[in-house]
Formats: sequence, structure tokens, C-alpha cells
Amino acid sequence: MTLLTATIVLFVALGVFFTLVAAVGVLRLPDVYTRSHAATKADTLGAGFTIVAVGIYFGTTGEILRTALLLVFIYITNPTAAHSITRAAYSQDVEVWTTDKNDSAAERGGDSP
Amino acid sequence: MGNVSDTNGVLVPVSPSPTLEETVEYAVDAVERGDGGGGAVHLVLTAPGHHVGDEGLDRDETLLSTAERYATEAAGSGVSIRTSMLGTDEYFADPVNHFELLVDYVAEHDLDRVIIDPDYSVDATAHVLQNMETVLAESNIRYEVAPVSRSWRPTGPELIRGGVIAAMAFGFYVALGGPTYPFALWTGAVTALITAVLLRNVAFERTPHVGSALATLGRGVVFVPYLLWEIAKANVQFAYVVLHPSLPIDPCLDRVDAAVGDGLSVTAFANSVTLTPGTLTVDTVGSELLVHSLAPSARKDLAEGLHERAVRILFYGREGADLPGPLARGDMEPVVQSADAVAGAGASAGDESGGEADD
Repeated sequence: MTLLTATIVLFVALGVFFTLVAAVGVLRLPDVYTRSHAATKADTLGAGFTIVAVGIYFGTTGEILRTALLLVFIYITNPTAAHSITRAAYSQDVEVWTTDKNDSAAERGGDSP
Repeated sequence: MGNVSDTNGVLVPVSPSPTLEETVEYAVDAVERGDGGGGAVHLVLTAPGHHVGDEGLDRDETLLSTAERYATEAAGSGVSIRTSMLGTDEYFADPVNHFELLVDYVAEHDLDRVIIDPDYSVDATAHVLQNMETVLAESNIRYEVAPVSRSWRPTGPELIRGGVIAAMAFGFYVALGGPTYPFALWTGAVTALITAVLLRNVAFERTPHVGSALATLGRGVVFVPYLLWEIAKANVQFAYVVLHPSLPIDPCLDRVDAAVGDGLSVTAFANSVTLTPGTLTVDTVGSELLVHSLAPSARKDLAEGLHERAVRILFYGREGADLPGPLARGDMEPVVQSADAVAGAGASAGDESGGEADD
């Protein structure tokens, strides 16, 4: 029983950690494209761990099946949403941030191939 | 006047439809009635995606020879029959590509017009969904829809697709709701049946084939844990990058032409790219993807075809893996990259120089 609880706590903690990473990523990263990386990846694993914890907590076959389905749909919809957001940004000509732009305007567009 | 077949050539797009025979007969008849009293009937089948293995090729060849048989049975002396299979070495992600092939064929052979089977469809997609007539009209090609009677009876492929949809819908309902009493089961079954009837020509891109579907499902058992493992790795790397004080990123945008075929495999590829190490699919046009990558290591995985290989194995089996990565094939070109990345990649990365957001 305590082992079970410990496992659940571990998975919830991992879930919280990766969701936190996603939040930090959204705040720290420079543009919409890089922020989308944060929103999809870390979030997907964060939600994944949390759902695994939920599945373990309920423990019956029906609930596990349903939580697994939940995970499947998150894994399909999450990248699709990120794709549509960045696609919208790209079609609005939102510039892609590169490391060049960090060097404070001094030398921009040094076009050596 | 020149060649007879030039002045009176007719193209008939071939697809597995119940009215194929009547359409072919009508076309042969139309050519015979036409001035000059003869000409050629071109029976053309568009069959892309036979890159790997010959799976499905047999079916297409049988279909084409069946159509040819109908035509020769109906044809008099003045009509010549030609058959042709187009696009076998290409990957299509959009039904419109099929029509474009036909348009090219018409131009190439200088054909007079196109006679369309009213039940023509690009395998499993409903003919109402993609308007072949629009494409033909835009290309200024004369066409007519063969005046044949359409039957009410569903075709074999339609039954298969409907059955698969009904089974999946009902299975999903039972898995989610867990109904136990007869009323719930009966209403569920009826709903599944209605869904199947409505979506039989919408839900699938091509008719599921038991053998290949089972094979794909079996390989999926390997693919999904692999993908989950890649996702976990991606997250640990990502957490490191995001929590690192100096935020070590070097974003790039690349155009990648993925060597995967239909809509489903392109979607699987695009989504697995988005879910795995530091790469994100921004846009897709056909099988061409615009991929944003967060760091050079992620970009290298993409260039070497890490995801592509996995998806190809999933859909095409073992032989699918024997293909060099997009960069080696020349199917990857940078759109936006930093000066550092250009210097780092050296001459091998391609001939494009780093630039601003769009072309």
C-alpha cells in the first residue's frame, strides 16, 4: 500500500516537474516557435506522467483503459495544436528567432554562406 | 488532319467503381460515333505510392486489365485501346495530385476530352470531396460525365470500410462508456451503423487491407514504445536546455521532403517530429514539411532520418528503412538558420545561405 502510494506520488511529482519546465520554457524562450516546443514536449510528458498516476490510483481495468485512451488523444491533439499555432504564426510572417539576433543589432544578417 | 488517334482521343480515368464497365463502353461508343470513325481510348489508372514492395500493385494491374477487357469487348475495328498506370514512383499526399497527373497525360498525348465515370473516386475518398471537374475545367480540358446509371448497392471496398468504421466506433463506445444492459448496447450498435454509412467514403484514405493493417498494427507495438522513449529523452534534454542559465539554443527552420506516402503516414511523421527531440513541424505542403528545430543535435537527428525511418518501418515494413536520410538524399534545405549554424554545417549543409524569415 505504501509502495503504491509512493509510486503514485513519484509519477505526480514527475508530472508536475515537466509541466513546470513547460511553463518556464514558455516564459524564457524567445519566440512563438521555440515557445511551442515548450508547450508541446514538456507538457505532453507532464500530462503523461500525471495520467499514469491516475491510472495506478484507480487500478481497475476499465479506468486504466480510459486513462490510456486519454493519453492517446493528448498525444495526437497536442502536436496538432502546436502545429496549427506555429503554422498560423509562419503564415503571418512571424520572424524566426536565431542566435544572430541576440548579438544586439551590432552585426545582423552577416550573409556569409 | 494527321494521326487519327490525335484528333479523337479520349481519356477514361479508371477506378474500382461499379459503373466502370458501362463508362468504358460509353467511351468506346463515343469514339466510334465521333467524326473520323475511330480513335483511341486511353484507360488511365493513377496509382502512387508503390515505392516499397509491390503491395497493392497486383490489385491495380488486375483492375487495369479488367478495364481493358471491357473496352476490347466493346470496341470495333476503328478504336484502339491503350492502358497506362501513372505515378507509381511518386508519393502523393493530396487527391488533387491524381488529377494533375491526368491533366499532364491529356496534354502529353494531345487528347480530345476526358470521360468521367460518375462513381470515380481516388480509392477510398468520396468523389464529392475532391472535385475532379474543377481541376479539369481550370486546365481547359473538355470533359463529360458518362451518362450511366449509378447503383444503390455498396461496393465491396465500401462494405469493408463501413465495417471497419462500425467496429471501431462500437469498440470505442464500449471501451469508454462500458454499457452493460441491452438497450445501451443496441442503441450503440445502431449509432455505429449510422456512423459507418455516413463516413464510409470519408474516414479512410485508402481501403484498409487486412494483411497490411495487421502488419502495421504489429509494427505499431514496437513503434509506440520507441516513440514514448524518444519523447522521454526529448523531455529530459528539453528540461536541461530550458533550466540552463544561459539557455543554449540555436533555432533553425528547414524544409524537409519526407519520403512517406499518403496522408496518414505524413501525419504520423509530422506528429512524431513534433513530439520528439527539439523539432517541431510548422507547416506541410504535400509530403514537404517545414520543421523548426531548437538545437543542432535535434536538427542532425532529423537530417539523418531518425523519425522518417521509424515511420517508414511502421507503414512499409523492414525494407522501408533502406533509405538514406533527407539530407543525404538532398531533400532537406535550410530556410532560416543562424550564422553559427551555417559555419558549423560547412559546405555539406547545402547551397542555401542563411537569411531572414521567408523566401
